[in-house]
Amino acid sequence: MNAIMSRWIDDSRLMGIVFLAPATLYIVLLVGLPFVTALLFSVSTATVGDASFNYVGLRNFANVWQTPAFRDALVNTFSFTVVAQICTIILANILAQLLTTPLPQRRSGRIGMWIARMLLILPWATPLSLSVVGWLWMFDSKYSPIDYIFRELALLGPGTVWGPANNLIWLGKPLLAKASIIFVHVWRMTPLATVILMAGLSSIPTDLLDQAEVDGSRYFRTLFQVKLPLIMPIMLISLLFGFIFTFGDLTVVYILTRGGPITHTLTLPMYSFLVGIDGGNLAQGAAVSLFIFPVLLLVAVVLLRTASRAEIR
Amino acid sequence: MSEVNLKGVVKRFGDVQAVAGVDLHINSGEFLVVLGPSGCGKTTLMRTIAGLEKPEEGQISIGARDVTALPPRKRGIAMVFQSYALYPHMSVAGNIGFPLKAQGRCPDRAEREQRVYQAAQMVSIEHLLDRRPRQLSGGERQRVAIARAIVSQPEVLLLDEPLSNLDAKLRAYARDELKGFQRKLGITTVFVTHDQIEAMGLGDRIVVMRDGLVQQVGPPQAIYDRPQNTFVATFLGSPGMNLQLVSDQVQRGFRPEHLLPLGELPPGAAHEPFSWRVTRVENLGSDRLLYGHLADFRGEMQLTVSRLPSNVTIEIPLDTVCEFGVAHDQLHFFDVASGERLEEGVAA
Repeated sequence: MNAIMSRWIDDSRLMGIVFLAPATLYIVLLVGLPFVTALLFSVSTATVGDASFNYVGLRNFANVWQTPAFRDALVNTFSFTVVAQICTIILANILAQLLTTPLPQRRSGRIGMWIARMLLILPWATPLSLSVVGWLWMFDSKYSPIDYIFRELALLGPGTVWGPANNLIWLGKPLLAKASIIFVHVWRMTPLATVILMAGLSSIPTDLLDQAEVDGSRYFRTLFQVKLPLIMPIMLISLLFGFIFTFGDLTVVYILTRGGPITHTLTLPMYSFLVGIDGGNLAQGAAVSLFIFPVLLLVAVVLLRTASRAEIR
Repeated sequence: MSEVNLKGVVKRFGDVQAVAGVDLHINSGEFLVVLGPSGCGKTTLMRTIAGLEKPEEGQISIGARDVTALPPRKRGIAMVFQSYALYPHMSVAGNIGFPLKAQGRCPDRAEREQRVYQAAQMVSIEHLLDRRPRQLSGGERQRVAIARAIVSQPEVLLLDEPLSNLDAKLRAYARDELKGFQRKLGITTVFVTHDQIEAMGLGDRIVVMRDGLVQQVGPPQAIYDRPQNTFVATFLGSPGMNLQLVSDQVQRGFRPEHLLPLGELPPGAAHEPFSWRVTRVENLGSDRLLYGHLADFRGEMQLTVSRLPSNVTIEIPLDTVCEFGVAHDQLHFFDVASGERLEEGVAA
């Protein structure tokens, strides 16, 4: 018995298969299968009520493409993602610079830095749906604390700059709703991006920064000509991560606006959900969601290639 | 080209005094080597001159200017780090030109390129200007670092162990070259090292440091010939000076190359005889090291080394008492308690 066991264990091919099996099964069952199902649905007439397979070719894609709501969703998805990533990377750079600034060697300084770093990571550590519900309240049409602060500052209300209304109605106006959603995405992605950038910044040899100082370089020259070029690969990875998270995100839009007002904050995942799940048209929902795939595939390829090149350096 | 003056410079890190009150005068155009074991404060001293560290006490002046409160860029210094600290994302030309751009002293692009080329030519790397640092050998990187340091024509050049990353063969060659550049440019140069061969070979003068304090300053030969205390005596030379207690107050020192078989001593010189047993011989090719023990005045045995040049071919039998001697003028005397050098008259 033992002899057979040990022969199995020494068989590296067999063991290779055994060790790879769980991960492979996981991917096949939970990623591969739904993906194939989506592909099949997208060329059929499947609905929630009738999942029988009738092949209709690319008709669903053509139909979806002609829907104005889909065009809105496509534009929004790209613009939300791009704007949010730009804001995130700028903010994360500023934060990472601040949080890696050497402090005087005092105990209070070290503790303060530790607290600041812990607070920073909190948005990332909170469950997304919960924190977005928090923001839903912040943006409430009547009881928004943000509006309250503006009122107290005499910026909002009768006879003020933004008045006479007592509320801005964040999620009810197209531009404010878009801004709110982008804001929550930025709030959500900034901690991770900051931590990634901090890791990059602290990996820069101090000799190099001392050298820059001796060479006569001041803060912004050192930042833009030495530090940022050196952490560029890491920054790109953080950007691509953020891109994937934001592009495919449903939670934020679903909780805050469900795509409204009208279709002003509609995104591809949200639209896919509305059509496929809420509307019951599985075929068209699948077709919408498949528009996301080539974009994410492209980003993932760039991401992996950047990551492998960053490793070599 | 300027002289550098340090007055009572103190640099503390928390409770540790890395530099514990250093007074130093560096002549204009001089090649000064700061020598000491690791942790002696030599690198901190150099970083303080550079302006990368702010001293808690004391004053630093370069030329006629008090630079104590000035940042590095206003001091007219350039520095080469042990790691060379080349910017990996810039070409060699970009690296060399960086100080010119950063200091804004050379806004004209053509002139800048001209000066980069001249600096590169000075260290014979003009054919490498388009390369990236990672495509260069250790020796080439070092030259790029030196070119970057001299391109802005600094008044003072600071070198922090720039040769320690080179392999042993290249090091001797690089030493020679470095001395050559320095002579050609005439820049006041401070060179930090823990390697006494570099110090002896390069320095117009050597500063020996320990525990943040200057132990001795002087030309290499003078320090070697007349060490100011037992630390300098044993730190310089390889192996260092032998020390032997001759009384409760006085110890006697002599260099291994001066402990010779009686027949090898200069004829007619007055000498101190030593009878000892050699227990081990190391043949280094160019010379032989003999290890054995000598009794001090209390009869306790102390490890003692003799170095015989290769032209001394006499057979040394192991574990047999041999008659050796040291010429009187090669004996040094030190106070036991302070370790300070005693003049010959006092000891006798």
